[in-house]
Amino acid sequence: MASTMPPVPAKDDVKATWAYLEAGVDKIMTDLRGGMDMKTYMGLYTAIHNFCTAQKAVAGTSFTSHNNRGGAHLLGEDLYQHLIEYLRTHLKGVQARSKEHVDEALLTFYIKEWNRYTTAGQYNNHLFRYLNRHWVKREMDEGKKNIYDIYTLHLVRWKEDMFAGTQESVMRSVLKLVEKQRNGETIEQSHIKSVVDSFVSLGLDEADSSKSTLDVYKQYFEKPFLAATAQYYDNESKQFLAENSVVEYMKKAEARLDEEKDRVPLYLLNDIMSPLMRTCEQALITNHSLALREEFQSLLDHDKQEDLGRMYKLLARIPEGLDPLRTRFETHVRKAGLSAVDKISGEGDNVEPKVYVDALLEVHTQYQDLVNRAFNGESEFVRSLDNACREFVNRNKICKSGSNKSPELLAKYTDTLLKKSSAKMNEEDNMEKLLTQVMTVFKYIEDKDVFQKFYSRMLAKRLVQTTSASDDAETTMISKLKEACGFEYTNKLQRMFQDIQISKDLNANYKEFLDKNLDPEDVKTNIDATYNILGAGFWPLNPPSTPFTPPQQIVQTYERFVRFYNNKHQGRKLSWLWHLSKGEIKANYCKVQGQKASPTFQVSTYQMAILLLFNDSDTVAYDEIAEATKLGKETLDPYLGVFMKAKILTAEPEGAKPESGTSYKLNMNFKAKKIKMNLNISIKGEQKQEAEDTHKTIEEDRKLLMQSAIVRIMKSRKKMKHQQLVSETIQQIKNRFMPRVPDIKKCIDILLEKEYLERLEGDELGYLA
Amino acid sequence: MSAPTEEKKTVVLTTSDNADLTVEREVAERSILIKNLLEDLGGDNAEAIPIPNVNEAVMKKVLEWCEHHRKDPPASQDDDSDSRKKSTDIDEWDQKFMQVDQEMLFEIILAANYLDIKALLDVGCKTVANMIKGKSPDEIRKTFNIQNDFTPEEEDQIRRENEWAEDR
Amino acid sequence: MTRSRRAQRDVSASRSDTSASTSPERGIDDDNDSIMLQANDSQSSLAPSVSPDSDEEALRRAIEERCRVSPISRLPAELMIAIFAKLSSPGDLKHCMLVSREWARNSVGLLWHRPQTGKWGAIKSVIATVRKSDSFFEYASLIKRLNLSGLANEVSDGTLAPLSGCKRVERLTLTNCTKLSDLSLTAMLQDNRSLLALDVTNLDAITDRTMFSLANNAVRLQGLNITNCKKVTDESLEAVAKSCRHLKRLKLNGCSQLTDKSIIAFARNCRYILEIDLHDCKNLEDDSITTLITEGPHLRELRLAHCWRVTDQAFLRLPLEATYDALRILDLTDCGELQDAGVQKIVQAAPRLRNLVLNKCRNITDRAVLAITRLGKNLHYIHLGHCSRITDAGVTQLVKLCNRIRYIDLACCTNLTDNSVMQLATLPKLKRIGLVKCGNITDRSILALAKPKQVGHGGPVAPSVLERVHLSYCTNLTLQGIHALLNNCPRLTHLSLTGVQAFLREDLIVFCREAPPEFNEHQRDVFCVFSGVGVSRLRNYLNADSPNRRTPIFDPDGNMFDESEEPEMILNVTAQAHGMNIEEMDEDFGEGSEMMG
Repeated sequence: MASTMPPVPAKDDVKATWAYLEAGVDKIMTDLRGGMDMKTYMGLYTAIHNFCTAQKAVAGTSFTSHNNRGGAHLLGEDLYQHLIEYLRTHLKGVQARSKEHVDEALLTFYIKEWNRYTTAGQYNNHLFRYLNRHWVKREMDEGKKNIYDIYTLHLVRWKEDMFAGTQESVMRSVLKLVEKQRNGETIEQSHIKSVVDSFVSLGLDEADSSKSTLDVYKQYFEKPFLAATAQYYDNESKQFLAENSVVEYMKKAEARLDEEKDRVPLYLLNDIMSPLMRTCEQALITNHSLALREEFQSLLDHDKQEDLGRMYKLLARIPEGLDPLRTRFETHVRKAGLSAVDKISGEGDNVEPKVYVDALLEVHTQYQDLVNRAFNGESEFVRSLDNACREFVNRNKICKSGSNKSPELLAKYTDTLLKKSSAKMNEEDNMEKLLTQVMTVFKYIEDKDVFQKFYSRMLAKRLVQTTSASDDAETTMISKLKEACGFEYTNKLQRMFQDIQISKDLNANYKEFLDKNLDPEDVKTNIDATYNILGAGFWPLNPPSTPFTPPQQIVQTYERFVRFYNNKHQGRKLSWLWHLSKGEIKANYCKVQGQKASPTFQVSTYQMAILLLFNDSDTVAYDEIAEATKLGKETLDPYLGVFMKAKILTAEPEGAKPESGTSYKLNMNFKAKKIKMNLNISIKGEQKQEAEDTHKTIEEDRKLLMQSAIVRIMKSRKKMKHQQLVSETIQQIKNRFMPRVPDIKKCIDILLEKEYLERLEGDELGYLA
Repeated sequence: MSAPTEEKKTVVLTTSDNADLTVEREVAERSILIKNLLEDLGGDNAEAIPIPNVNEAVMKKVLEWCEHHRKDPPASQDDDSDSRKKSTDIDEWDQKFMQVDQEMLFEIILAANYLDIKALLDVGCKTVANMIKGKSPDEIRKTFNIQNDFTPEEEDQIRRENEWAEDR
Repeated sequence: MTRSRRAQRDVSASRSDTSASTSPERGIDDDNDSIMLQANDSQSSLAPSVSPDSDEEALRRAIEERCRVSPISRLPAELMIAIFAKLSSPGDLKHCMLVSREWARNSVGLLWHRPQTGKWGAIKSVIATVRKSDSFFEYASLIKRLNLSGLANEVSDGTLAPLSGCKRVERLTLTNCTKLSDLSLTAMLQDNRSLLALDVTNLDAITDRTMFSLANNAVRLQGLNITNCKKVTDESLEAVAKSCRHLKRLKLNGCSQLTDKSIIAFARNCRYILEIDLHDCKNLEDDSITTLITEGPHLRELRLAHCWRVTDQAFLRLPLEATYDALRILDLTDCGELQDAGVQKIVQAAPRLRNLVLNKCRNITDRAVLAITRLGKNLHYIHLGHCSRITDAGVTQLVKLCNRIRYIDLACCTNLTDNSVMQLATLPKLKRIGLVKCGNITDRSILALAKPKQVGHGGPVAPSVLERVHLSYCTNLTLQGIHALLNNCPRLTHLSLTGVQAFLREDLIVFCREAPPEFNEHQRDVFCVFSGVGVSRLRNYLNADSPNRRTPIFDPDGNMFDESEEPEMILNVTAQAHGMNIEEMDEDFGEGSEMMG
């Protein structure tokens, strides 16, 4: 109370001033609740102010003093030292009383005292503000050590005179409380929070005492807290695992980790989250990671997605925790893929493309699903899955003969999807889905160039023979490939597709032209025909393998078209791909069984030329046929065989081989069962030839691809080491196929010979422009 | 306490010569001393605040300044930054305000220092600094009525020892 | 109660009296003078002599009297100091020192805080005073800042040695004082516990001895600049790191002997590092960089130019999810091993990067640029000079996502075409663009740059804010484009066109600035840089020269910048003042890429 305060002392009297101040400070420390009036407050502030500003009257340090060579001198140190003494004594008492308490009572005591003391500290900080503003500030500016503003001084004293002696027992009580909570009991959490706050406040920055650090908190709270945590979970996890299965343990560990995470915002500093989690992870996961991993294979075998997911989440938390799982997962998937292929390859080489592709897809789908659900779609697991799939797609029992088999089968499968003839017309969205699946497998194919070869041949066939199911599906597929492999990869496919579109327009134009310009005489002899103009560079088509003289009946018709075309596009050369041409002829000499109509034969142009010979005579000699059509023996003979088999022609003498001396007679008794009859069956030899050709061109194309890659690289780098060039080349073309190093070296040699490159010193190669 | 915002809160200051001055709280709180006091003790009771070191005349002058500067932004925490500028520029109103005799000028400075009104203290110091600028030692002594307590030898010694200090 | 207490307090009472008695009529000089004389007499008899014990009361009365006649005497020392602190001129402070003993005591610290050392005369005087054993004050202990860089190589050990008694120096700046050696520096540092900052840039004679001395004494050290002190080794700097734990700013440029050892020591021991510059510390490897970032939560600026051995690993080894939000400036000039993966990780780990310099990181591609786009609006400054693998695609994406870019350099990015520049031209805040040796670009690019920008979406159209444009060796450029640029970019202050044939004309070259003296014949022949007034002269010349003055390149639907309008000119001036800071940084990088030719 103001009335108990002595009168304001003389300003230059240290003793009197401090005696006056001490009474006030003590009241603030011990009895702030009792309240303070304005007079006392102002009295204390004024006493300090007057003392500090009164230096001129103090004898000894007065203006007369001569030995003050250091310059200006401010007053206040006496008060500061007195305050320190007071705080020391005061805190000694507090610490002594703390010894009377243990456990929760100690915490209650500590927190109560801390709150009282810091509140008083803030008060004193205001009352001593004049000291702060001048004397303290100057001392700090001068770099004096151990001088703090008054509030910080309170903290420093607490740390030295109170905290140092009690922190251990306080912390012991805190940890007991936390253990109780971990054991499921309810505790007074706010106690711990207050202790944390107090420890944090005591962290003073050495460099700048106006800032705080977490040093004290880290050393005296965090460290013991983490140690106790590790100890607790070490014990618990060992005991639990001894009594329960790994699957059960994982549930327990997961729950404990969540619990600890939730504990942080309740009463800990957010800063502890990371070290606390690390500590728990060490005790709960890392220490038992072997046991966990051992369970992995069995979970995979039984497809326990939920448990796998839990294991993933746990092991993902520790460094390198998942690496062993990834390797095992990859092996597992590869084995699954290989055994799926084994199962279907039972009947030997002639596996149905669809069966093969479906088998691959099934394995992929199953494990992709697992990765997404249990492994969070994590990119490293996706990579393991991809690695495994790439392995079993390119190297399995069916591919034993060579890795070409997978792209070939996939291309064939795609062909069946896109072909009109495929029994079920696939609904549009279903088609989209199927094509996406094709791309899934395609992604894993290493020899993408092989796929390209087969695909383009089959596409050519679909287009030329108009057996394509839908233009939309074709374009979708092409754009998917383009997305995967780039413009270059699909350039030719696209051009082929365009050629067909252009040809459609051309035919329409030609029809119009004919309607306008044909005189009635010509109309009679004109044969209704459609033409496809195919750019020679883009289509994977061979020129006819045999000479051929087209039958007189069609010559006029096609020559007319040639004139029309040349007129339109001067300078272009047309060559006819007779082996791909076809037509229909009507067999007027016989009738379809039970009908009046005559049957129509669908035939190739070669067949047409043969049959038309029989318009002039019922019997034609082998030599005559050969002479008239100019067809080579290897083409002519099988075609005659087709007619014989269909019983359209008969050989004379009966059963004679196709050779000079044999004659062929039109079977006038031919019994046609259907109105349309397809005789245009491709010949076995042709098919086989085609596959061989395809493989052969692949080898040649690869050489070219490597060479052009090398030239491209050298053109931009000018100079390069041999080894570097090889690896760069691999880099550039590996998404087409995996080049072999010796092949690249061969290509480099070829380029050296052709003088695109030159050898320089020290294993370097140079580019010759 | 129950006063709506329109009716401004006031406090009473009792000066050393026992005059009671009623002033809006916002104005009085330009003084950090008063601001802290009201915060610490809860300024809602009607008790007058004793200001034992300032008399009525000076207090009125100080309050006039506070009134004029009531809306100024609070001084920046980092008060070093502006003192480092050493600028002796003073705004026009403050210049006029400081046109008082030395007696009053130094009383204002002392009061500003006591009451902890940094901006006012600053203006006061700048005003004095401007009175010093460009003057010879002798002129300075005259201006402030200061007695030269150096011996001629001492004066000469200091002059020599600080020879390097010239106007930049 | 209050009243009675007040009655006892004599001084405050007397003070009240005097202030109460203050009246306008009072205070005539003559009056005071007479009193003054009296006071002088009485005090001179009292003051200098030792005060007799019994005389305390008399002394008190004397003080009272003094306060009455000289009101300023009432101010305590702290207020006198506050007043003196407002005086910026040493001359004024010196005069204050000569007023009285008390004034001298309160002003001497301010005067000697930072003595004048820019001229020989001043330095000599300071030294002479400091050396005196019987000086009036202990001047040596009052000196807090000492800067001898003004005299640079005229300063010798003999100059510094006498100052070694100044043990409380806080900032010691000896930039370019190349004659100094360990001898004077160790003496200077010995027993100084106050030192906060030391700058010994280019003192190539000093060795580990000086640094050990620093370690043994300067426990408060916060800033250290030992640029080009090539004899300094890891050994002494490890000691510095261990004892100077408050270091915040470190410049170790060109200290070519340093390895990871010392840098890791700094990272581990000095947790408050804000800036570290390791330019040309060619032995540094990944470990030190990783440690600096992980251990330094406050690290703001990290400069690693020409640290050749730094690779992606320096960054890839950073903890998985950790981010370093404080990091704003990262200079990796010529860290040639850096690849896309490293850049990706950098962006992930330091999402608030403002300046990123990847000049001459030749391996990086568009992938890195795409990663950089994740910095978004934080990115202000990006240097991709000589990153020749990047393409239009990368630049386009960069512009789309980082539209606060103010500075971009793409020198020698030879793949870039007009498409890139036309995108760059849409950046609303672009001040500086470097396209040296981007040989594909044509006038189309320049016309795009010249085009006024729309501010925000549907906002007003404002003239370009471009200030510096580097187009040397863009050989396709012609007069037409540049003319438009000049007429549409009012703030343009720098335009380089070295090696561009269309500008190597007698009539234009006259506006070009001098080639740097170190250039050879050929370099001089092709040199063509317009700066400052050169730019406006060129603009005026072209405008006068061309038949139709000010060719309107753009639709004249308002908003086209018109030079003759006054308000624009004012805008122009303020903008240049704002741009100052950035300008300074520009010089380093902008010119560098040009001199390559």
